[in-house]
Amino acid sequence: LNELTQRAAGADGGRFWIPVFLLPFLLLYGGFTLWPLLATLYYSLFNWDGIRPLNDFVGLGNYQRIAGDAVFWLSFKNTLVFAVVETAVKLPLSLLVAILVTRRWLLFKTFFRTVFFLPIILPVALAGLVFTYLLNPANGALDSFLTDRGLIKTPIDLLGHGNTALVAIILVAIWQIFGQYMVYWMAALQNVPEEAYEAADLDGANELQKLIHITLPMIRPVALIISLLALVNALHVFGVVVTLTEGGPGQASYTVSYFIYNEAFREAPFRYGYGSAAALLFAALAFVFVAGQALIARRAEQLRRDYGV
Amino acid sequence: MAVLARRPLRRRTYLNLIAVPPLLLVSLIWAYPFLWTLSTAFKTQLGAFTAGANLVPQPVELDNFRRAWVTAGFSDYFVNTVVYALGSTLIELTKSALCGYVLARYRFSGRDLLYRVIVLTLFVPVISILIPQFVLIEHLGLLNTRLGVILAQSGGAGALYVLLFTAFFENLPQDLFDAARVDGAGFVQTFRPAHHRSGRHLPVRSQLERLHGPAGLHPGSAQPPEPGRGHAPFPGHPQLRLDRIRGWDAHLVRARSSGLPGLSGLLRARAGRGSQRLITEAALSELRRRADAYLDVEPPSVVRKRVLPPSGDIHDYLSLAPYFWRNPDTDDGLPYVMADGEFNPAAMEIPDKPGLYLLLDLVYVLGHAYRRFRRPEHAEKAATCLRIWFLAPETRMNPNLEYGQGIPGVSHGRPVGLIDTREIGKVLEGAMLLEGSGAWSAADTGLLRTWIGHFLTWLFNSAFGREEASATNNHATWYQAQAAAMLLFCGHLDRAREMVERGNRLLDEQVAADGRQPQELTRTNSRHYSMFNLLGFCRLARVGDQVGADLWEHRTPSGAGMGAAIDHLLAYWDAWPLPTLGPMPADNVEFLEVLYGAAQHCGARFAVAWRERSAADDLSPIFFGPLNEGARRQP
Repeated sequence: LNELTQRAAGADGGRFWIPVFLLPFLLLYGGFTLWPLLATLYYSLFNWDGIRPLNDFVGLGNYQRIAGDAVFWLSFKNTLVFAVVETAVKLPLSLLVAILVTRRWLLFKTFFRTVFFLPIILPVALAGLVFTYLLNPANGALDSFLTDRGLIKTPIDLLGHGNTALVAIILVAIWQIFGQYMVYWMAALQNVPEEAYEAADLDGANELQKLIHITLPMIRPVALIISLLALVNALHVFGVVVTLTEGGPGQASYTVSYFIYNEAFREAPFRYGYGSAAALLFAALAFVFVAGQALIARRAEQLRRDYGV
Repeated sequence: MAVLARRPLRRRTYLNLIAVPPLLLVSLIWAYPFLWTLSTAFKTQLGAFTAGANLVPQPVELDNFRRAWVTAGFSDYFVNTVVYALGSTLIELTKSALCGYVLARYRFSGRDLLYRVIVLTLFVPVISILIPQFVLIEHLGLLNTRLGVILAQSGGAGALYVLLFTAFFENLPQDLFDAARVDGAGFVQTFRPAHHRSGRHLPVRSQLERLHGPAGLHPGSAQPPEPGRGHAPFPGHPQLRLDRIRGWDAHLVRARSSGLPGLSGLLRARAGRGSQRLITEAALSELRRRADAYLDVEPPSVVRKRVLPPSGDIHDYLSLAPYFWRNPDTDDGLPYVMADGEFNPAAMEIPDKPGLYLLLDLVYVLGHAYRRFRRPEHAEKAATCLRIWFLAPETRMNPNLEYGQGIPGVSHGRPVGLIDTREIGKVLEGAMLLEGSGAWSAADTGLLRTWIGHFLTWLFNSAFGREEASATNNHATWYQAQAAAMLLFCGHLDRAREMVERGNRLLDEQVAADGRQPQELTRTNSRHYSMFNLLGFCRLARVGDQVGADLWEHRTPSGAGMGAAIDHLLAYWDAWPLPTLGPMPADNVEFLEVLYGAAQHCGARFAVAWRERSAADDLSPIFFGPLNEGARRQP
């Protein structure tokens, strides 16, 4: 190895090493993401159950049917509501907690960090399961707690009604994923040099001023990436829905991923071609949605322009 | 002392009183489902359904664990999960780190396409590509194997982590990589974790020191000092060593690499924005700090270099082109090849250019510091450095740039080398501010004026000078700007005015109707050069202010002018629409100077922009180029 790098040291060996560095990623990415994606595109043009020979070519027929499929559009609406609300709640909250637990002055830092991180170590499936018990109107912890204290008279069935089911899904999803975003934010906050705060202390800046003038501007570049991630991940919500409501009641809490899963894998006859078309259509819509967000964010950034980097 | 020590303690308690109770409350709610899960594991089946919100299991049931582990086969699941998790994490990390590193640090054909495709695939629901993944695994003969699962898991969701790693590597300071290269680290060594263990600000200095060691120069480029010349070998002084790393702006690099006092000063000022008194104090104390820091600097001189210019005269200034690199296709690396915008740190190993840049800033800062604080040591230091660089027969620089920005294997010097002296106006202003200090007299300024006169003669009559004057981009601008500053210094006011007025023609040639500067936009670092060229125009225009020529107001045939060009720059500064390399270290300071100039001459909108973007130590124009404070005292 040493000999190799020495030989290539002229232009620091880039021409040899760049392909070598890229290769592992490209192999796996090509095989398990790009090729499947193209295959999906191909399948979406067929009426296919994923098992029998692929010979019933329907062209854009699947897409046409999706455009008129009320369940798909309900799922789409639910997914958007979920993604927007979940992101809008979890990002600021996790940032706030991350800021608090990284302050040098805070007591019991480790305790708080542990508590907020804990749920992420539960698998999504288990988190969903736990909450079906906790939210069960017959004997669940939430209703017991509320009725025991006389706060409500009749038990409420959060998961049993369309709108509250979605709310419950959002809350559980936030609870479950919170630790991950807290850690993202904490990583971003570590990039803020301590001297910046010391300097601000010298000038008697209070915590709010430090937050507005130092912390937020300095984590802004990372914040954009984290928001993008959060939004994209939220758009693909699946596990919580499966374990908490299975899309119910009825189809009230369907999300697009669950819709696809349902079409392609759950109810025979499987409609894999149809599911593929739905996936691609949704990917395109999601891209437009997130790209729109990013565009707006950049626009806002340009307008604010109060920070020079 | 006691008061000082108690205050932070009280504040700490106060903050905790506010923050801890709500955090505790939320923590309890947060932990509840988790604790419930935990307690349910100890409950009997019946107990789990009748306990309500109660967390204490009654009776305690331990058999659940035995049944899960043995009867339900959990032991196998557990082993599988650990294997999958470790295996896919390892693969995921390796491939994403390698790919992210290359994406962040290297330009190669197809890079942008790859990046975009990765971003696009983020939007595809994983579930939708499950079947093709399944088919692939089957074809590989890995169906129902652990390896198959690991591959599918680590192959399917790679896009996200690559983007994270790319962002991480992009955020590492370029200095680290440059330093590693200076150190002779190859591609793989530069990637190795040791070089970005810290990944952050503060350890930069220790990193650099560790990388360079105390020896200073990089072995291999250093030639033994020529015997009999009597000059000391280039000392391993931290100031100059650090200059090699980037060397664009001596004090800025130094500030960046020495625990960031510059940044903290900047932020300190930002935190206190709005208080005019604090702003002025901050600026002055920053000036004082920089001036004091220069007191310990080894005076730079052209005779410190260890290589002789082709003339054989050590007094000739010698520098290498910054954007040229060893030729990877030849054994001796010659001729060097260009990578526009990519600094070759080896070019700064010849101490003339870092020395010159240091001198320009040092004299300027010490001159202004002396004028404000009247400390004799400031004036003495500046005077010593001036004499060593320009006047003392043993150490002076010859007044020419015949060997500026040479390219090994191509040429010994080039017209564009004149860009090296573009800031010479700062030294001239600093020298005049020293007058009357006892260390530097008007007669000394006269000697310096003679040197400048010789240099101007060379500038106007040499082949290089004439060619540089006819450049079509920022080189022409900076040629005019420095020539005008020197003419002013030498008292040739009419010729200085002529020089400024020629700037009108440059604006006509270089600024498009909408304010773009097409010649600068062709550069790889198009944002920087668009700003850099306008900085040159600002300097030229400021000389014009002294001699009755108004470049600020000039309108090109298409109706544009400096205002339009700066408008364009300001509009796109934060979201530059063209491909451009990352910012140079001094970009923000220089951009502020452009805005400051525009604020005074081109309209209130620039004043707003300038104030919004300035931290307090920038709010004082002290840290900008020549203020012509000395020039007003010109005879």
